[in-house]
Amino acid sequence: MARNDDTSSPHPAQPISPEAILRVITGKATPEEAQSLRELAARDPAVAHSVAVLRDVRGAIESLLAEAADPPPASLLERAAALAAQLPRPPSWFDRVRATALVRIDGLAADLAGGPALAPALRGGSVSSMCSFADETARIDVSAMRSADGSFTLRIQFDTHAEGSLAGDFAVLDSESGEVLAAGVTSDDGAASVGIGGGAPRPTLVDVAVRWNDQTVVAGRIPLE
Amino acid sequence: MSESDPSEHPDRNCEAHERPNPDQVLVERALRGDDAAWQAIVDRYAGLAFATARRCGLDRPSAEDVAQSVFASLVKSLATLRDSGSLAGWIVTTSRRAAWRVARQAQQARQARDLLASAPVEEPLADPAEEIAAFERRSQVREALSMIDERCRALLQALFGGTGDPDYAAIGTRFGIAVNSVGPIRNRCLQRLLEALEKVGFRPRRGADFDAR
Repeated sequence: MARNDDTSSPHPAQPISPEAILRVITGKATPEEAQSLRELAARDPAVAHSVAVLRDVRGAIESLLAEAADPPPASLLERAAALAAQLPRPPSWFDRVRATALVRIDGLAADLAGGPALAPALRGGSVSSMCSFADETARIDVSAMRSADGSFTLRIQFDTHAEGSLAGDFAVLDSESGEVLAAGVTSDDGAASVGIGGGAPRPTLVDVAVRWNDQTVVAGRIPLE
Repeated sequence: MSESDPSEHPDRNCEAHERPNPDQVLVERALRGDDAAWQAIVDRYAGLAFATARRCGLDRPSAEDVAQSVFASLVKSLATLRDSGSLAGWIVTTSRRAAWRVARQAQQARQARDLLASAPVEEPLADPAEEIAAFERRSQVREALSMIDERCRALLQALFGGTGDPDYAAIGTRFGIAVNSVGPIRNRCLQRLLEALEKVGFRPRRGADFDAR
């Protein structure tokens, strides 16, 4: 800002105050005063900057006052806020802290950073990858099939040593953001298939969580690349 | 006419760059099911969606419907907006398209006269990029005004807003100050506002013309 008492400015002090600039901007100055300010602003970038700031502040305040006179209806705010019910939410059963993280066991475990190699599939130009995770009681195998449009189909196979149905809740989450990408229920034999959209931005790492018999296991950081 | 160059004010630039993009933070939180983040998005952008539809010539009920449809689309599009720099652009563009669609349908149904308010649809609108920039400036000015006291706010709004001379007698009465003290106080308030604007990283349009619009 151009100030009479501003000694820190790299520009030389100018004999003009913000009030004087405002008088011109608001049309209260004489034509001579306005012309004088124009000439000063043309010579001094600091004055030009002050003019630009005060001009835009005036425009902004006028708009704010106009919007305040024609505010959005309260019903709009209420209805828009109610759309929060449509936000993606983690499944109520999923608690990452209490879940058991399975350990990766497939042959590429030594190269976790790179993830599994994507080998060309036999059909449709798709490529696929497969990861396996397990602990003493449960195992999850995940294969990712990438389509030409960039979308993925995840085939999930859950297994345990226990007998009986393997139907349980599952969820696929973005490893980075925690966003739920898909959720559903596995079949009696522990299988599920789910599509992950190809829209941008697409997650590059996903977690697969399965809840079975009140226990939750997670297979983490499966690459989708 | 000389133009101001933001690079001439390195401190201001630095301060502006250090501010995190609030939109991206809100979108990320909303994508994790954070209701408060969605509420903040609504609070920040409902007015923009509504005002954009109004500027396209729609009456209040139609503008409300348009704004509501914009937010219904937004909640489904959040994932694709995660990396966008600002929601304002998306809101303005989507609101305009929806408003134009409504206005066109109304005209085709020969109901335009009842539906359209005083501003005709054909009225030239600001360039979308400029409209978005103006919205950002309004947000920063609003934030800067919130950082100064109520008396200063009222004085400055009276000073900047409106075309006639401010009624300083009324302002003096309202805040219990003598009329001849209004000028010096107003001057200090102006300095406070300018300091607050620097804190929020306010950057004006290029050019030193005097036209506020």
